Amino acid sequence: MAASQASLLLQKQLKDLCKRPVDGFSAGLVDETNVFKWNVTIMGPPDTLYDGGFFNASMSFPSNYPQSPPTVKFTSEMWHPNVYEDGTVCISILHPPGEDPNGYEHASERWSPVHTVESIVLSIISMLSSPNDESPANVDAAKEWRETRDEFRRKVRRCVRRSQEML
Amino acid sequence: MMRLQTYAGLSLIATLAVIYHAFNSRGQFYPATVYLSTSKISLVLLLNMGLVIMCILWQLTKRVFLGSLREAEVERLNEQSWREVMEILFAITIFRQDFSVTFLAMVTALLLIKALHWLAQKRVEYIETTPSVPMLSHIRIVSFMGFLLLLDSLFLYSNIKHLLATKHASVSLFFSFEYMILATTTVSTFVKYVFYVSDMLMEGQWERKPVYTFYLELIRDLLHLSMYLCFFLVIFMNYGVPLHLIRELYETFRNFKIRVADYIRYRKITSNMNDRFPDATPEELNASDATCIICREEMTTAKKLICGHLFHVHCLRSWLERQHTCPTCRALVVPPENGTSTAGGHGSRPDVNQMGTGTGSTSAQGSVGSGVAGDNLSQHQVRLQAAAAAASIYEKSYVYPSANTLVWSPGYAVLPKVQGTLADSSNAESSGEGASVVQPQQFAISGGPANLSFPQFPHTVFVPFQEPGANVINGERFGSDLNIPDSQLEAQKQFLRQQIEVLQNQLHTLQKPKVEENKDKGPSTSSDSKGKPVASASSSVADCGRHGENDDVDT
Repeated sequence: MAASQASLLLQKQLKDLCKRPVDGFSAGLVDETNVFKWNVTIMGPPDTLYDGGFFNASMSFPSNYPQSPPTVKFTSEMWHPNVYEDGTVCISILHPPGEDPNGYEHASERWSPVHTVESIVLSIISMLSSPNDESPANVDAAKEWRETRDEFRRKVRRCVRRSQEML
Repeated sequence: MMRLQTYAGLSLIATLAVIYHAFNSRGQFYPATVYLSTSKISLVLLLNMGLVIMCILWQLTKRVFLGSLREAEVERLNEQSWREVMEILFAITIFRQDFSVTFLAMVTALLLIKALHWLAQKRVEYIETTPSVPMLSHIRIVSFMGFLLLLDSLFLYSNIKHLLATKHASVSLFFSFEYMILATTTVSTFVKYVFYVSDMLMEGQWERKPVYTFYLELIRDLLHLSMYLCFFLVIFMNYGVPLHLIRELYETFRNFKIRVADYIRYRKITSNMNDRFPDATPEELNASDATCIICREEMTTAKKLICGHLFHVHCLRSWLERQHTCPTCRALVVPPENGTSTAGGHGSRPDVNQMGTGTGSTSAQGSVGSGVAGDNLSQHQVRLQAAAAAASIYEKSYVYPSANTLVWSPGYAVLPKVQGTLADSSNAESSGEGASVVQPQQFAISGGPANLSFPQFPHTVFVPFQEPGANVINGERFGSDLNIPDSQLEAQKQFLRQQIEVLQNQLHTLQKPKVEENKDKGPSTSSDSKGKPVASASSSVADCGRHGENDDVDT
C-alpha cells in the first residue's frame, strides 16, 4: 500500500485523535482503507444557535497534504453564512496559499501546513459560533443573519432538529 | 445511458429505414447510393448514425478503461466540453474553405478524444490521492494512456503526412497541432503517474518528487507555450487571427509566467538553503519537543528560520515551493530588502513559542502584527489607530454579542492592542461593567490554558486546547501594556470614552428593541468565557460589544 508522507501524517493524526479525543467533535475515516477521506461529527457549540446539533461533515485531503488544504463539506443540512448551499465550508484557512485573487483575504489568513484535522475542525466550530458575513458563501443566509435574525434562527433550529433526528 | 441507448436505437431504425427505402425504390445498388448521398434527409440520418457510432465507441472506451465516472470527472467533462465546443466552432469559421463532411467527422473525433484526455488526467489525479488502488486500476490507466498516445500519434502522423504531401496550409495544420498538444499532455500525465508510482514504491520517502514534478510541469508549459505561439503565427499568416486560440494562448502564457516567477523565487531560496537557513543546534532542538510541525515527525537535524521556528529540510523545501512564509507564524522567510521591521519584530524575542501547535501559532501572529506595527508607528499612533479600528468594528458588530468580523478587518494588524487598551480604559472606570471586561486580561496574564490571541485568525483559536507555552507572548505583551505612562492612558481613555458615547447613542437609537434580549445574554456569555471555549473564542469584538451593551443596561 502506498505510504506517502501525507498518508503517514494523516494516520498519525487519526491515532492521536483516537487516543486523546477532543471535546466538541469526533472524527474517523469514511472507509478504513482510505486515510484521505474523513468523516467528522461536529457538535453544535453550546450557547449558540447551533447548540444541540450533531452535524456530519466529510473532509477530503489532497495527495500533497499538508502542502495544500483539505476540503470540508457538511453532509448534514446546514444553514450558515459561510457554508455553501451544497455544504462546502468556506473559511479562509481552507483556501490554498497565496494571495486571494478576489482580494478578500490576506495571504496570511490562508492555508498553512501546520493545520491538522483538529485545528481545522476547531476553526469550523468557531465559525459556527461567530459567522462572518462580510464575504458570505451563502448570501441568503448572510442576509437573513444580518436583517431577519428570527428567520435565520428558525432555519438553523430546523437544521439542528434534523441533525438530531438523523442520529 | 438509457437516453443514449434509445437515441442510438432510434437512429439505427431511421437509418435502416432510409437505406431500405433507397434500395426498394431504386432497385439497383448504384442509383440507391446516389440517392442516399444526395437526398438531404437521408444524408442527415446517415451523419446522425455516424455520430451515434462515434459516441458508442467513446462510451465503450470509457467503459473499458475507466469504468463508471466519478462525480468530479463528470463535472469537469461538462464544464470543459462547452468551452471546447465554442472554441472548435471558432476554429471552424477560420477553416471554412475546407468545410466538408470529413472535416466535421474529424472535429467530432477530436472533441471526443480530447474528452478522453481530460478524463485520463482526472483519473490520474484521483489515483494519486487514493492510497489503496487495486492493481486493475493501475493496469487500466496505463493501458488507457498508452491507447490515447497511440490515437494521438496515429492522427498526428496521418495529418502531417497529408500536410507534407500537399505542401499547402490546410485544416490538417489545425489537427496536427491539436494532436501534438494532446500527445505532449498525455506524455506528461504519464510521467507524472510514473513519479507517483515510484514514490509509492519508495514508501513515500522520495523527497525529490516535488522538485521533479515541478520541472515536469515547467517543461510541459514551455512546450505548450512555444507550440501555441508557433501555431498562432502560422494561422495568422495563412488565415487571419485565430480566435479560438486566444484564450488558450493567454492561459498558457499566464501559467507559464507564474511558474517561472515561482521557479526563480524558489531557486533563489532553495539553491542556498543550506547557507541561508542555519542548522538548529542540539540545544535548540532539545528546547522544543523536536517535532517538525509540518510532518509531525521527530527531527534529528533541522533548519531554523529567522523567526526561530524549526523544520525538516525537505518539509520546509516543499512548503517554500508554495509560499515564502514561515508555516507557523507566517513571517517572511527572507527579510524584505528595505525594511527590517519583520525581522526586527521577531529578533527581539526569538524562540518563544517555538513548536507551538497549530492553534498556538495564532498568538505568534498576534505578536508579529503588533511588533511590526510598533516599529513603524509610535506607540501613541498605534493606540489611536487601534481605538479607531475597535470603534469601526464595534459599530459593525453591535447587532449580536458574538459577532466576529475581525478576519477581514483592515486594521487587524494592530488589533492585539485593542484588547489591552479597552481593558485598560475600563480598568480605570472601576464599576460593575468594568469588571466584566477586565476578565479577559486576567486570563492572559495568568498564562493558563485560556488565551485571547485571536487577532488574525479567530477561527483557529479554540482556547482550552492551546499549549500553555504559547501564552508567554501574550502575557508579556499585556504586562507591558500596563506599564505605559498615565498621561497616555488618560488621553486614550478620553478618546475611547468619546467613541463609546457616540456609539452608545447609535446603539440606543438603533437597537432599542434588542436591549431586553441582550440583557439576558450579555452577562451569561461573559461569565461563561472562562469555561466555555466558544464564548471566549468570540473575539475581542465580542467583548467590545458586551462592553457597550452592559453600559447600556446600566445607564
